Amino acid sequence: MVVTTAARRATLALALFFGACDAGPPPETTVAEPTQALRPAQLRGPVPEDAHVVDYVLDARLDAEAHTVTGTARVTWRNRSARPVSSAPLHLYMNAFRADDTVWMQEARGSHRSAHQGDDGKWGYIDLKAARLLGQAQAAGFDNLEGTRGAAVDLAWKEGDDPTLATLTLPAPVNPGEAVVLEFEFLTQLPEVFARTGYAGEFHFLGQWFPKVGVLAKDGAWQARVWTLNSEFYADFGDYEVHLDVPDNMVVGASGILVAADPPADGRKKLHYKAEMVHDFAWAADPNFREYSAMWRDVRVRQLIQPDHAADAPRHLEALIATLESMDTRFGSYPWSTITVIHPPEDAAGAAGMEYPTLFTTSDIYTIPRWVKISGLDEQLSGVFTTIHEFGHQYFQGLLASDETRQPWLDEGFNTFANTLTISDWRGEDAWIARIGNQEFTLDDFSAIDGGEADLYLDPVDAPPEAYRAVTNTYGDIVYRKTAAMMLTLRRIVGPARFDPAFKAYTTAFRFRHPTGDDLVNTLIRELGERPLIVDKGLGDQPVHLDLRGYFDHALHTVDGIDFTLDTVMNRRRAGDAGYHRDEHGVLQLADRAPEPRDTRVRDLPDEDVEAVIVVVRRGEFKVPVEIDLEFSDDTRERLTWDGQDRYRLLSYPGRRIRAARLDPDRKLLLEIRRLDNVRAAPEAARPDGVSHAVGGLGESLALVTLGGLGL
Amino acid sequence: MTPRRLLPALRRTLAAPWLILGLGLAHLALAAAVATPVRAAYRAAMGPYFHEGAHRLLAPLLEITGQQRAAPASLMAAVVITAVIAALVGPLLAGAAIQRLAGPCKVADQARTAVAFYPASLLIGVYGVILRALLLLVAAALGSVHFVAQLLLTIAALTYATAVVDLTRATVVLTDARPYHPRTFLRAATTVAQDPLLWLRSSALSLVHIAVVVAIVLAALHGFGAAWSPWAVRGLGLLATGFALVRIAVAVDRVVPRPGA
Repeated sequence: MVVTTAARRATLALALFFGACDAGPPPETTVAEPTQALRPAQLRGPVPEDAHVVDYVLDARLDAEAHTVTGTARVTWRNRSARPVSSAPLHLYMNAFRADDTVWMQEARGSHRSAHQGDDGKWGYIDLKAARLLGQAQAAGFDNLEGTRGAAVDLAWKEGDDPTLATLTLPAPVNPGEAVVLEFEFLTQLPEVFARTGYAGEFHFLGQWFPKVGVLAKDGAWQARVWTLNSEFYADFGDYEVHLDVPDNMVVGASGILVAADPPADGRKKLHYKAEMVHDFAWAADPNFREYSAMWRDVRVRQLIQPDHAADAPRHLEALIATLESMDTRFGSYPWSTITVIHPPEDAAGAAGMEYPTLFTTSDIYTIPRWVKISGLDEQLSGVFTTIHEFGHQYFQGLLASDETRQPWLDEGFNTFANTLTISDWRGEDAWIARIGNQEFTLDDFSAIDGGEADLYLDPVDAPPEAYRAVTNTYGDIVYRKTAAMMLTLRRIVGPARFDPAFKAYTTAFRFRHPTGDDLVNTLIRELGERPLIVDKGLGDQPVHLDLRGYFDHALHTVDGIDFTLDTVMNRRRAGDAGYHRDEHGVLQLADRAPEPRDTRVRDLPDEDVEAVIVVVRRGEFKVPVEIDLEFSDDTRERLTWDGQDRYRLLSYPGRRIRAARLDPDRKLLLEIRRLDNVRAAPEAARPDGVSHAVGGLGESLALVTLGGLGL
Repeated sequence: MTPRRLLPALRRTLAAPWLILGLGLAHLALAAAVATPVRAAYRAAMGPYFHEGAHRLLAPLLEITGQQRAAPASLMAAVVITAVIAALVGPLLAGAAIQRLAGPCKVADQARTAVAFYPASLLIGVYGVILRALLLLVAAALGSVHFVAQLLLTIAALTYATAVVDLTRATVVLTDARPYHPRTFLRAATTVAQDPLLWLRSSALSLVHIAVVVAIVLAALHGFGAAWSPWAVRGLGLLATGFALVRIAVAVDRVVPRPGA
């Protein structure tokens, strides 16, 4: 009996240790559906009337067996430009998956972010069955346009060289201020998901699933481009009324709010969703979803998660609420009343990590086994970082709807920058994000770029997405990480106290707009000045300024890197004044002083006979101010700021002995390529390098482990 | 099994203090020698600069890895070289250790035995690898039901193979058994299977040995860069050698029981 109990205890302990206990998913939690798609005006702030350009009424029927959606789209579009238009581009994004020779597939070669095209549902497409003009009118608003119907006129359309873009010919020009109501019938065949959209078993994710009109710029030029591998989306703001007809066992998550649901009949159910002032509409359906909803202030947070990961819902919720708090404060109020988080199943990982208005997909938290954690290996961002990042897109590009097909850094890069601030707000400044043993990898380590990553220097930041080729693997590193490092570096150089309000001026001014890179630069220059003062007294007692436009020119349009090095840190014999000098009568006189003891080593000289010499070299072409911290042998320290404009700067301190110098001691320059050469000691104050001993010890340990007792 | 059953093997081992000390120090010296080029490579990578932040070494290590590939390559090379040394030197030393654990003898005799039985010892090691591979396959197949079950089966398989290799080597060195014939190995395998106490004693010491090796890894990780870490690691390294010798002594004890044991 004792043995049995002991065995049970041992088994239980082992099971607990190895995480074998499966308590089952926690009970679902729901909250009331919001009644308005937008938050109240006093909370969300104003919505500019002229930002409202296009409305969609979508009717869609999902065939979960064939993985198709048949539907109609009634599009009310208003010409807000100054010129008439007689044709309109139509995005047919799903056609990217139609054949191997689409522009998207040619670059992707059947894979996207490590997910690969399936064999079963290999192809996806959207087949436009019909296009009609239902009405055309001069209209002040959108409210009455749905009823503005004359006789339907069939419209001609033509696919472009790439099937993701078609051109619709209008029977008569649409003049400035006029609106048209268009109707499309379409059939969308979903691919087995490997890139954002599609199906996996019973899970269906509907993104880029209906025909969308391009964006007409103020100058009357259409902005609509073929869909390429790295490119995301660009569309006008408007309202969406969406009627979904799905199998009645499906749990559905969608952009916007559910405003009506018909009772199920014949194994189907009909759901009516509404989203306001958004530029896309996506939805997901899966009978396996479990719902975990909560409220953040007046915003409904709804998670639809797979049962086997349901226990992670609270962590995602915590991260999401931290992000809402941070971004709402830093960048302006979140305008919508809801946010829906879709957790795709493991076999639909290709759908994970994508953003749509008021809805995004996230990824799973990686669970490190408890026995592995004994090694000190731990991390706190897997999965939740996706949640933070994809929610961040509700601002960058959901609210500040930059043209992702031309300047992806404005959303991906700014969002990554914003994520860093969010994590700082949530976890603390420079919080650890991963660790092993006694070592930590922090947010700064994560944010700083590394010169070893050669692909960071192949393409500039300000480039269209197709400039970053899949084989060079530059898109993620440059558009996301380098942009974020650029913004974080600028923030640290000018100081958060000045930078944060300036950046908020940008995020506030361009809500529900389509800001460009120039808008950002001009806003920051307006708020901070062309040459913001960094310090009153830099080297040579001169004020140090940052050339803000030059900063952006370097950071955005070149592949130049920031790189400073401590070329020399030394002490030498101070220049003496012994010898012959002319006196006031012009007669040479031998100074009545003892000659300098030239055979005495510098390290043995008294400090007053020593001159500290430091040479700082700018190796990179990117010129920014840099701080230098000097540590002298009398335990005093000096902090200087060099404007970084010259190629190098020699610092001399007669009568003082330098112990060590440090460049960028507060780690402001996250864009710096090499940091290992930033801390240097004078030879006589040399100290261990801080790395080789540790790694040597690790090597010795690994050797002992491998030998394992001499292999006996 | 009680600790008392391990005492004969422990007594055999403790009766050979110079063997423990000699092999232990050789163990440490070899590891230190292999690590020396690693230190040098990272010292060269750092040049005249130094890094501050004892708990923030991951970022500089990544920077070195990205910019100066020779340094991480030296670390990888150290591990590979050590593995080769372990594979080649272990069987050589096993002969000498078995000879000494069987009873007092001169160092020259031990050396002669080591050399004479080296090819056989190597071959027995290969047989051991094959046995481990087969047992691991079985463990993988049987243990697919649950991770814990698979882990237990894997441990059982590995410790069993180690006991068989030890017993085969001891038999070959101390008796007239045919050194190269697989039947000698199979006979040892049968003996271990039929003598659960022998297997258990050997397994217990193997597990302790594995635990010591895991402790070395943990000490290296949790003490990365800390002053105490190398000494803790070296102490554990000595312990690892000691436990390996006691485990071999268990096999020796089976072949040549001590009088009165």
